[in-house]
Order: sequence, then structure tokens, then C-alpha cells
Amino acid sequence: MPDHLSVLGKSVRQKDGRPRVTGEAKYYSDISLPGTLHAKMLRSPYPQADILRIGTSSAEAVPGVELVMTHLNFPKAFRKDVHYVGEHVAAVIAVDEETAEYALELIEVEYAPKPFVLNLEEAIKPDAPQVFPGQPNCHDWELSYYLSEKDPLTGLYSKKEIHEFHGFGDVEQGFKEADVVVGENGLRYAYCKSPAMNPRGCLMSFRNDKLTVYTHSQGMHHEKIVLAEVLDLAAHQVNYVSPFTGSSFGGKIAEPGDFNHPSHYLIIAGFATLTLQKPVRCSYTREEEMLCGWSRGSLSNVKLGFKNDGTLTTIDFDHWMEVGTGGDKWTVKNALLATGTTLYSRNCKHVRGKIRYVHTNRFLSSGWQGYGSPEGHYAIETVMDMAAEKLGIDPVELRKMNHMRKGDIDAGYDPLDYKSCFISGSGITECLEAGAERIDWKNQWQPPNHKSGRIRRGLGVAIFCMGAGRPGPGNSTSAMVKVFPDGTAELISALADIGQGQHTVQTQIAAEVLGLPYKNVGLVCHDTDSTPWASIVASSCGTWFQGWATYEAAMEAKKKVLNLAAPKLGVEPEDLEIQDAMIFVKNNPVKKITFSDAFGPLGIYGGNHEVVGYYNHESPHPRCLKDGKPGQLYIPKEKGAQFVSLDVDTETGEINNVRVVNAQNVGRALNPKIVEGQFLNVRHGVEHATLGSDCIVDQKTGRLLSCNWIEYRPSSILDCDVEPIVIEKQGDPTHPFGATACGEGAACPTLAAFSNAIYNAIGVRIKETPFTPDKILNALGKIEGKKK
Amino acid sequence: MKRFEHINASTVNEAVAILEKNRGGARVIAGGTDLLGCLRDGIWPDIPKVIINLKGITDLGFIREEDDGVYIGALTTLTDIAESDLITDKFGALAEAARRTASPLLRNLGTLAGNICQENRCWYYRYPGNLGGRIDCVRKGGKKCLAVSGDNRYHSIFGAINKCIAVNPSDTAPALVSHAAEVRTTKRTVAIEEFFTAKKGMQSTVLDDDEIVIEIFLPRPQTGTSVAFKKIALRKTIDFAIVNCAACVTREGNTVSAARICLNGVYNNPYRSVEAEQIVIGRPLDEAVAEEAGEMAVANAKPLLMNRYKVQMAKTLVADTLMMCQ
Repeated sequence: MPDHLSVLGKSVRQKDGRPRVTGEAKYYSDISLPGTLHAKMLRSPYPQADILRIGTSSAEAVPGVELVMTHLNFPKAFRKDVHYVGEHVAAVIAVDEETAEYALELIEVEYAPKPFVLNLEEAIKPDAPQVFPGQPNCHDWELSYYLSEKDPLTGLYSKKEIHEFHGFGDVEQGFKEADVVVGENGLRYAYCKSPAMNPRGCLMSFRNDKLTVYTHSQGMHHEKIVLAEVLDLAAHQVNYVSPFTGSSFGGKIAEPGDFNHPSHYLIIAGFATLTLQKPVRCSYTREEEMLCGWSRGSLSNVKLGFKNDGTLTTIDFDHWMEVGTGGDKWTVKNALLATGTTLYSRNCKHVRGKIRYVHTNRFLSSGWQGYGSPEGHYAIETVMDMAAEKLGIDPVELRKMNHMRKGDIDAGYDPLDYKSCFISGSGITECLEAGAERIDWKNQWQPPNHKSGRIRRGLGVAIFCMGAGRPGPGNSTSAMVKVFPDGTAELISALADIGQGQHTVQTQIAAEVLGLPYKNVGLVCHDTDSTPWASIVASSCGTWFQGWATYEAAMEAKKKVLNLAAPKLGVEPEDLEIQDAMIFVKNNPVKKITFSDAFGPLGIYGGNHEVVGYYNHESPHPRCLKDGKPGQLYIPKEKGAQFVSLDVDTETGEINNVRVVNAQNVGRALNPKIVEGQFLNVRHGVEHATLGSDCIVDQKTGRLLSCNWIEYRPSSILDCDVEPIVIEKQGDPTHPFGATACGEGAACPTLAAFSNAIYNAIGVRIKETPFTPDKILNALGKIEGKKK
Repeated sequence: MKRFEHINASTVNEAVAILEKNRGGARVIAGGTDLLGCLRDGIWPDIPKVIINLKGITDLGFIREEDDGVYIGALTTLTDIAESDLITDKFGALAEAARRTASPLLRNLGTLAGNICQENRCWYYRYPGNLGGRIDCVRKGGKKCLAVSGDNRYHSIFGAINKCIAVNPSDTAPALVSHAAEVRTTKRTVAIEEFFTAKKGMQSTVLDDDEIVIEIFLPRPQTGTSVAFKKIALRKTIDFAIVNCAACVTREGNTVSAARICLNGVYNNPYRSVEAEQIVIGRPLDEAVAEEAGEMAVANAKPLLMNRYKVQMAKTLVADTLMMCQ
């Protein structure tokens, strides 16, 4: 791993920063094609109903209406029944939005309303109405790859087949061994929405036998292949265009093949475009966007066992996660990350994690920032604080004793097949120490019973670990690098930049490898036609997972350049190095040539016009193997500690003067400013801790009352700040430059840290998020009895 | 959004003439920060056919000091008010209320008249039509109020008007009440408390169909007057108040000679508490008196199942704003 870096480690300007801030960047909703038609959807007023009849003739007769779509003529795009208020029942394609909206009102639908269930506690009762008839609402997480038995040869935990027992070790035995048992039931994390700025949507056109899809995408190539299949097109007939995403916070992944996934704009626009042979736009309003992309929404019971000295021996974790009527159920497994599977794997050898996902007649879920992990962290890290109090140990110290260390087992990653996995680096102790110092924990932290007065300050801490990439077999991603005779290059990469800065960091990696200044490396990322396959942007794997593809592709290109240069300098390619776009002999740097010299003469019929490097990175990379052994992986993880300081006004229930310190070990900060931005971005995504952002539904009608950004409150940049502490514990072997990941980790501890700080301020534990004034006043007994 | 005719008016008279011609079928737009949301969500059964743009009327954006007080033109933006030294100096509750309204972008667009003419808020009333159809609640002439038995955490704590418990959300309104402002319209001059009367169905003010606010008059405060405005909102930067409160206290010597206290976000109209004012008048203002006034302000509260916490907030805010006037 190189110690000296020229381009990496520097906060270079974002590659696509200029078009974004000048407005030059074109998002799907900015693109207009002549003769574009507009799709609008009719949405269900009922949370659960069968559709008995749909009459469309009046709508079809409206001048300007070109197509009315229902389950009768497009059964792949609509259902005969609805499962939440706002589910799409029909669509009108018309010359403009107003005509389409007018025609929607003329569609006659006869519904047979059915019983429904709107909250998790009700939905898990055995006699609850079934969201999908014939299926229970509550599903055990089936794919249990978690540790169960030790391999007698290696002493390591080995794979166990799908089984009912979720966890490893023997929890009952663990509690017998424990001196102190601490538990809490009924910890609730609100159902929350990924706060993407640009609502979902697309514009499609079909010309010359080719469907062009202008949209936002976290994974253009995957969506393209799936959409082609759904629309019965050949893959080469679809070009997916998504240079900019309009932000997503991870929640805008589309799965057009899954009806319960919020990707209906693609299916409806796709069928309409192909049917009418005209461009069709289908873009959601903010309110329609609010029907998609929910997550969190959990209920947890936690029981922890400790030795008197604070050693954590046992975790018993019962967890239910709401998924509404949709979509992505895999998120639920990540709740276990905060248990002995990963975060506390140092000492905790007995874990039971009974986890389930639960359907309700609420809105479509999809995984986003944190992907199931914040819920688990919220529950475990809250009870860790209760334990610290009971054990009489400082909350920071208790975590220091028990958190995962380098080389500890990691059973919480996302394998396609179980392998033995190990933490490649921790640094949580350093993060705890740096954060504690910044917030002056030693002097400022006082137990709640030391506080009085109207305004009470509280301090809270929580630690975290989070996914980081898809290290298991079956995952792959690729990149291409072209080098030109003028000493410039271009990175060709479909990796989406959803605001996390990947376009910049990947270009930095290519420039670093090639020995070129950052400005000499361009980026091609426009569409699927011009780029090779890249994996979806998810699980914070851009720097880590795509980084290998970019690195190896650039290495291959560099090798080819050096092969061209070597004969001209009369040395072997291994003797050469590149710096500042000059190729020179390592032990005799005055001997050097330009790229142009190396490439040689050019003519319109030939010559070396470009050199191409390509690499398809198939996980795991050999350098991620522990001691080079196949079947044993190092996993980097995101990891760190978060501290919160806040003031509670005990008369109004308000929380003021919030400080959040996020200390995170990122291995190596390839672009320090982007890393700090990521901490802030993550904080933004979970600021609903105090803002009252919740899926508020009328219990009688199932209507979403928090259906806009007035009633659902994503934080603005003015509402949340974070004091970043970037820890760089160098030498992580799992990345070419020692970087780990930095995208979601900081989302995991925030609500626990808030909960712990509020408890520290007022001495009462609030068990349900968000921590709004009504709950705080209620906890303080400040709300007078029934109405007068 | 439904189609409508958009007419630029260049004078007040022209705007009024168009309103008269389209009785009930026209609405005026200035900043549009509230109106466009209502139109986009399709919450009203009757959609206006004509929208009259007032922004082209050049002489309605001003802050003018005269002998008797300060006149603020209807089209004066909240930013202009928040940044005005004159308003900050003499009518600090209004300046602070303007500063605490919405976000910088919205304050640059939103006008003072628009802020006091905005529609009341209730998430059932404002439920968007494109998510399964609008809710025909009592405010729209329907039979039922879904909020009374539904989720009423942000609704009125002082009962209903015409069965409706939507709240007036304006931040500037209680400040104007505390400053004893008057509203000048094309038809009349009306005291600010009389201006808000949510008795006419989907409307929060007394304005007739063909009436436009021209300016707001703030009488010169007596010497010894201090004012304050405080707001509780979940999102500190861009949010409507759960409860807000403005107070204006005039002292002669050590004792309070006059006081005006107004809450908002708690009732259909801004809620001036004369009872709380009476507690303060004639006494020196201290913490105990302020708390007593707070208790008195909510003495008639009739909270619902989910909004009892707002009573505690209102009580505290009254005491807090009074103490800020100390």
C-alpha cells in the first residue's frame, strides 16, 4: 500500500460539482422531448379492497387522452386489488398533465373494501386482517447464516443450514453465566422515509427499435436488464440514462420485476411508450413520492447479560420490522449488526436474534441509508446505557470493554454463501476517546439525578458498525480506463453518484494509479450504452468495492502505457514510474518521456490512439482473504462512536442546542471533505430523531397524513450539523489504498445517542422515536389529565 | 393542477374589478406560497377559474413611518420586514415573527398580507386529492370532521368554530395582535383581532370575495412598551408553529399599565387572552405573575385526546414571552 499519495487524500473539487451548482446538470425531469405524453395515476382511497369493476370509456373519450391503463389491459402493471391508500389503480396517458388529471376523475371504479391493519403491533396478532390474503403478516427471517457451531478443525464458527434458531451459542447458558441481566421491551423506531429531493420518475422514448430511459438510478445496468425483461425487449434495445440522481439516500433502487417495489413509474411509462410509440413521462409529485421508500418501523425487546466487571456475555434480541406492503425485506437482517454477531463480537458468545418482517396496509418500503441497522443499534445501544447505569460503569468505558476488535468474528455481513469472516480493523476505542474529549465527557457527563432546573443538559453516546460493501461471492462490478497520447485519461464507470461523491473519488483513484493530475482524468458515466456493468450503489460499497475495479482497470492501463514506454527508454516496464504525466526511470528520474513520446506517431489509419484497461472485480478480492486463505475473509465495516449533547426544556418539551460529534475510523480518507460531508449527509438522514418525522396515518381511513415535507420533516442543512472526527487507522488490507467505507454507519447510532442524552438530561427513558415534545412532557408528568 | 386563467393586475382597482366580475370564482396571488399548495393538492371542491397576480402592483410594497405609526404595504415581503431596522426597533415582535416564518426562500416570496390571509391548517382538510381523493370535511361543507376523533395532535385546544378545529398557523398574526395593528382593505379598516374570523367556511378572514388587503397599520407604541415573540416548532428552521405567542407590555413605573397577549396555532383564529392580560395589568411583572398569566391563558382550554401537551406549551409560552418583556 503506497504511503505517499499525490491525488488521493486531498479534498479535490467534486468532479460534477460545477454542473450541479450552476444548474447545468440535467436531471430526468429537466429533459423534454418533442411530443412527450404525460402519465398520471388514479390512486386507491382504500387501504385494502378488491376492485370489482373499472369503467374507462368516459376517460378514453376525453380529447387529448391517448391511453387509459388498468389491470384489464395491462395486468403486469396493475393489480385487481389494492393494499394501501394511494396504490395505483389506473393510469391515463394524455397530451398534458391537466388533461390526464381531468380524465382520471372520469374513471369509475367499484371497490369492495376489506378489513385492514395499519400498525405493527396489531399486524402481528394471529387474527389480524391479512395484508396479502393467504399469507401471514409476520414472517420469520428465514435465511439464517449466522454462527451456530464451531468447526472442530479450525475452531471457527461454520455454516449451518437454514434453521429456526437465529443466533449462536447458548443464550440460556449465557444468562446463567451472567451476574447482571438488563432488559427492556417495547423499544419503537418510527417508520421513516428516505428524504430524497427529486421524486421518482422517468421519461422514455422508443425510436429506431431502441427504448431510451431517462431516470435516476442507483444501478443503471441492473435496472436496465430487469426492465428489458419485464417489457419483453432484448437487453440491447434498452439504454438507461442517469448521469445524475437527484439524491436518494439509498432509497431509490428500482426493481421493476417486483410489484411490491416502488418502481411503478418505470413499468407504466415503459408499457405506454411501447404501446403508443411516443415519448411518455411519468413523474411523481412530492405526495406520490411519499408513498414510496419507507423503512425503519421496528419494535424490539432486548435482554443483555453481563459479568459484574462489565463483560458482555449474552444478547437476547427480539425484533420486528415493518415493511408496509413492500418491497425490500432484507433490511431486517441488519438489525443483528449491533449484537454479538459483529459490534459486540469481542466478548459476547451467546446471541439469539429472533427477527421478523411484518406487512401492514401502509406504504411501500425500500432499504435506505442504514438498511435495517439503525433500528438494531437503537435498541441495543439504548439498553447498553441502561446496563451501564445498573453496573455502575461509565457508558463510554462499558463500550470500550466490549466492542469488536481487529480479527474478531464478523457474522453480520451480507454473504451469498457463508464464509468465516473477520473484522479487518476497529478503532472504536480511538473513536470513543476522541469523541469523549471533544464533547468534554469527563467533566460534562453527570448522572440525571444531579440535575435540576428548567433547562437540563444531557450527554449521550452510542457506538456503531455497519455493512460496508458486498464481500461475498456472486458480487461483481467493473470499470474501464482509457489513456490518451496527450497524457490524459478517462474513467468509464456506471457507478452512480447519489451525492456521496463517488464520481470524484473513483476519478481520484484512477488519477493516482496513472500518475496523472486529477484534472487530467475525465469521467464517462452517462448511460448504459457507454459504460460497462457496475454494481448498484448500496451498502456503502462504492469506495471499497468499485474502488477495486477502478484500481485494477487503471493498473492494467498503466501497465500497457509502461509497455509502450519501456522500449523507448531502453529499460524494462517494471523499472518505470509515472508522475505528473511524465514517464520516468525510477532509479534515474532525469531519463523521462511524455505520454505522446510513449504512444508514438499517430495517423488516421493507425498508431496508438488509446490504451484501454478493463477490470471486472469479482468478490472477494484476493487481498481481502485473511492470511491468503480462501474461505476466510476480512471485512472492513464502518465503525465509530457518536456523541450527542442537548438541552431539554422541561416546561415545553423542546430539545435545543444539539451537538452531534461523529468519530469514525475510515481507514484512510481518500477525500477528507467528502468524508466529512458523508457524516453530515448521514446525520441529515436520521435527524428525524427530534423532528417528528413519522409515518402518521389516520387510523380509520388509512390515509397518510404526513404526506408532504411540511408534516413529514426532513431536516434542512440548517437543522443539523455534525462535528466530524475522522480517524484514519491506516493499513486496512481490504482496499488498495486502505480506505474502508463511509456512507451509512453514522446513521446507526444517532437515535440511541439521542435517547441516551435525553435520559441523561431528564432521568426518564422515552421508548418511542421520534423524541417529540409531547412525549417528553408526558414522560415528565407535565401533561394535565383528561380534558376539562 | 387544474387550468385557470392568470391575469396580471397593474392596479388595485383593476384587481378588484376582476374579483367583482368573477364573484367567488377568482383568487388573488402575491407570493403564492400558500395558494399554490392549496391548488396543487386540489383540496377545494370549487377550483378558482381566475388567478389575479398582484405582484405587478408597484405601490403596495413599502414600510412607511408617519406621526401616528408605521404603515406596511400588503406586498411587503417577510424578508423586508425581518430586515427592517424600523420594524425591529419599534415592533420587535413582528420582526421576530417574520424572521421565524418558514425559510429564507419563502420569506423572500411571502408577503405580510399573504401571511395573515393564509388558509388554516389541518392535515385532513389539506389532504391532497391525488392520493385517493380529497377529504370532504366540515370545513369544505361536508358532514364530518375526521380530526376530532382522529389524529388531532396539532389541532385546536380551544374548541371548534362551525365544527372545524383547523388552526390558524400564521406567525405574524399574533405579533400584529400584540402590536394592536389595523388592517386596511379596499373596503374598510378593521382591527386585527376582528380581521380573523374563521366563520365563513374555507376562509380564515373576514375578507369578502371582492376585497383585498392594502396595508397594515401599526400604531406608535407608548413609551415604556416592550414586546416579544416566541415560537415552538419541531423543525427550527422551516416549520409552522405548534404554538406561538406574542406579548406587548407597557409599564408605568414599576407596574404594567397595558398588555396584549396573543397565542396562535391553538385555535381557528389567533387567540388573544384578555384574561391573561388582566392578570398582568396593574401589577409589577415578575415570574409569579407571568406564570399566573400563563395559567389563566389556558384556563378555558378544551384539549382533545392527542393535543393536551399543547396546553402546557401555550401556558409556558405566555409566561416566557411576558418574561421576555420584562
